[in-house]
Amino acid sequence: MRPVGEARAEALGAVRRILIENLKLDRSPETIDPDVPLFGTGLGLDSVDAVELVVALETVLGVVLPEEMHAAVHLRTVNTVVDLVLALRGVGPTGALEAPAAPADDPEHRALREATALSVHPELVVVRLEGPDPFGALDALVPTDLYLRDGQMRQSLLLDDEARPIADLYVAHDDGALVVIAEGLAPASLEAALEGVAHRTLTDAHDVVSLHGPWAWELVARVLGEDLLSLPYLSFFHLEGGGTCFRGGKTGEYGYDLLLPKEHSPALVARLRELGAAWDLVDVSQATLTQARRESFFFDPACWRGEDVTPHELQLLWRCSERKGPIFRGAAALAARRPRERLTCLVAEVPLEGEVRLDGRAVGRVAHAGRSPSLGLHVGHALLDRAVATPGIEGLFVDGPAGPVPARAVSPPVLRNQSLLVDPRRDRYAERAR
Amino acid sequence: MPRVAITGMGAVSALGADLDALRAALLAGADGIAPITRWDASDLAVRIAAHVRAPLAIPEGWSRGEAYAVAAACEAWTRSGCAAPPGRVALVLGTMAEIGGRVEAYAERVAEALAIGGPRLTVSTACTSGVNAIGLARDLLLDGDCDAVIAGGVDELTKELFAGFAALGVLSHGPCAPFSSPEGTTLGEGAGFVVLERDRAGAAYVAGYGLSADAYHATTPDPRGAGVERAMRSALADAALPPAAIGYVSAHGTGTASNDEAEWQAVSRVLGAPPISGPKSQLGHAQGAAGPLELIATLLAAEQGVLLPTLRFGAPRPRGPRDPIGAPRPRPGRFEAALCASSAFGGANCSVIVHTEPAGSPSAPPRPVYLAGHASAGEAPVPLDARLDGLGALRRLAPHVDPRSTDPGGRALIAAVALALGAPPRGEARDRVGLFLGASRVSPESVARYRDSIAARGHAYVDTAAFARVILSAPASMASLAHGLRGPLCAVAAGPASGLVALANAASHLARRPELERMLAAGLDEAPERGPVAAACTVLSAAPCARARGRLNGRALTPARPRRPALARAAIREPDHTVVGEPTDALGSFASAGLAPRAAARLDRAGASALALAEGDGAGAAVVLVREEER
Repeated sequence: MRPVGEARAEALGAVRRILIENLKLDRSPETIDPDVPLFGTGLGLDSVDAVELVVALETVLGVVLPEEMHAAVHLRTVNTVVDLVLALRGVGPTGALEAPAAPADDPEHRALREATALSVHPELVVVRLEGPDPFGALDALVPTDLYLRDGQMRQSLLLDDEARPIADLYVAHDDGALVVIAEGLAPASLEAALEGVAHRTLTDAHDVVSLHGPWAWELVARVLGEDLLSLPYLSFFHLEGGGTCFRGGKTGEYGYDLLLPKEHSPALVARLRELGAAWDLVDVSQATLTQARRESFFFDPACWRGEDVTPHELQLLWRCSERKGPIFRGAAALAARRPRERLTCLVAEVPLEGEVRLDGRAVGRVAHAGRSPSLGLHVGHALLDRAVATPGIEGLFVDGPAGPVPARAVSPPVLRNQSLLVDPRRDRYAERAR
Repeated sequence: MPRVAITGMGAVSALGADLDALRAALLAGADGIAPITRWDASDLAVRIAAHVRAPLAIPEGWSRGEAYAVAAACEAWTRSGCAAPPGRVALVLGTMAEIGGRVEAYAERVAEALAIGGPRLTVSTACTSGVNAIGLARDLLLDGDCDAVIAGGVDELTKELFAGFAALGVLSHGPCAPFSSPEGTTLGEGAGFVVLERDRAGAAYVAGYGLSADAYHATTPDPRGAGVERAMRSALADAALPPAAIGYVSAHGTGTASNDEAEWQAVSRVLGAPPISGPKSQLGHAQGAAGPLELIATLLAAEQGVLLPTLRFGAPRPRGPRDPIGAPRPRPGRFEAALCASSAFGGANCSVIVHTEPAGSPSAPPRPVYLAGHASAGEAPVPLDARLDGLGALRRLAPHVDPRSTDPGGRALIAAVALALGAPPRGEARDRVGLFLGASRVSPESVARYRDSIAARGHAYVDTAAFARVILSAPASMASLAHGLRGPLCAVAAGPASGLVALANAASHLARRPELERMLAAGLDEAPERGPVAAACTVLSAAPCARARGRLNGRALTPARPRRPALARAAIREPDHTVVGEPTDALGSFASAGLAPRAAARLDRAGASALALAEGDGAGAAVVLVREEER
């Protein structure tokens, strides 16, 4: 292995050990995906943990976070922590990608990344599990530990019997009941999966409308009530007058999924569009959302249909419990899997597709890719041999349509999201600096 | 309805070593916050605090906190001119401090100095400890357990305590500016005590109080202020006052973004826009002493016809009050009734309402209280309903709880509550179920982790997760969060009788508050040297139900021989059964929490009445249970 690779592997091991020993994360090291988000989603660390992490980096690794660096903004995944450790030790190249400051050259992306964007989602299925033991019922279906305070939600998966993800889920705890927002499954398939479990399909009588963007919080508060300014990430509030506002988002910006009674949703959407003009609201297409998700490294079931991949390869082990035992669908296959590949984020100047080579040797393939209007670069998700699936590795080439193109493996997310820089307590869209 | 009058006050604070100094400083708009000189703060990012700087005699071998407590309590007692005999004088002291894991050292010192012979309780519910103590003291008076109570709180600002708050990032680099900039709080210290008496005239009256739990997050308050709202409404109901009657609010107002915003939302919803200010801008956040000191400060200002200011109020925050009396000095103003609010880590909230006239609630007669379920859990080598070896057992009982946010005491209590409740309350019923915890030791595991982190890494790098759990009420907060219990939350230490004392208090609370459906009373022990843990929980219900196994007919709290008064109140000469607790050192709280259910079990077999009795040094409790006639 190259020297940089060794330094990186060592740093990765050290950061994983800190998470387990200092932050008391109840996982074995190899199940901590390198690109797993640390705060909010992913490992779900909170502000108390952020303090502990910064302290541990200093006391255990001798790495001091510069004053101006904020843990939640700069330490976004395990790999970005490793990037920082390597950078502060003067070992390079790391996998860090510096995001340029230019605005996106596409109106939909510009709205999503810099203002507000609206999308509608007839493809989502939302069900409510009630009955005597919704947690027990869902625990037997999904691989995730359903640790949820009332009012809280988390990301989960539905696996098939071969441990391949067939749906991307949000699971929310609502006063003893569980609300599941499922993406990637036809309603009939979800019904089949939920056979025997008491549930109501909320999307029979509700629409899902979503708002995204660094200023989405301000528009949501304006239209749905100031109360929503207090809504934390991965939580939900029921709306007066019916419906629910879930704060999630898979684009890296503020994201709100509104579950609205069908009789109200046209009027509410009209109102959002009307008032949204002050926030330069634009309707965005599925293609724009798909690209935004690609940039944020959020799992997209549509990009993996039919592929033989499991949470091991997709860096989704964080959504899989190590404690539950083999009670959930796909458990046996998940436990038996010996993954040879890992999902890696690549960027290049030109379109990415096809085989990936290192020193002339085939090491993997691009699974899906697209151009980022914000970066001006092409972003691809590739399945690479685990030995080389590392940000910062040099000498990668992708067999593009016009011949081999150099590609860089980087630590996602590929953008510094504007949402991290906006402060809902102080900032206003109308007064933002240019 | 007897009135609870404040007949004496005493205070040691950053603004002076006694009441007169405090009064003068308040009227002058003095600022108690200054650079730290007591210990070396150069290794910390924040170096200011509201330390007690006035000279104060500290007896040989005493800590500063003990000196504060005794000085303030003695001042209050002397000023009160109270003539009650020692056996009829109680002490209820609030503090966050633990010394060797125990929280009762301050109460012991004060009781000794003042020769207090009545019940001696320590309330340790984080930052609400002091006002919580005043509320509990009012209950003791109304129940007839004493004729006078010295109630209040004390805390000393040590470097150890300071470092924990600093590491959590809640401290402001500059002096705190409640409702304005900068965000963050400034810590303080001191002691504030009042003497409460029944049926005697006083400068003011404690008209009522309310408790609640956010059940939202371990360290962050409910952002919508729903918990604070519940405590305020409960206080108003207890005082039988409409919201419009509140003429001034002494806000908890720490200066942190999360507290101030949540609190203001609650105040706006419940009270509209009354005059409000943040006394912590002068006194700092004196933790267990904060509530009592701020209440005393409010009354001192009222005597002079003024309302306290909020110092350093510049631009208002977007979701805060426009005018929290932002001024360098108090502003003329009067009130008939004032509300003093406190909130705490772990989600406990307490509001106390004081009135200048002898207002009191012509309240409904106390309701009957039934024993309706009991369970125990833990790892100790004693009979338990659920044994928690490893984390698997908690998964079965509370699958939605992330064990990473708990400690052994918390897990045992979560499990005991789960089993005792059967099913957690749902919907609005969550607002009507509360939890009182009796325990005499703070979690040894969390204390050790916190101390070890200081020794290994220094004060600048303490273990913040452990710090958040070095509070007597932490397991109760964890249990309220796990089960959505949003009613009253309180933790009381009273020696080996703690578990039964908590039950007696919970029964009083439930009897007197028509808005509550159930109160849980628990006892928890985590033996020293990281020994095994045991928790027991009893469900008290205001309505008879299928699970009810006895009705509580009388209770008493006294240090010795609570038997006679309890029986007298139950109008029973001799009980058919008596269950007495052994005053053992380890597992005392757990064991005493099981006495009432054991007495109820005897009732099942034969007999019409049973007495559960626990005695201890300083506090004891007796509870009489009777079997309900078959319908």
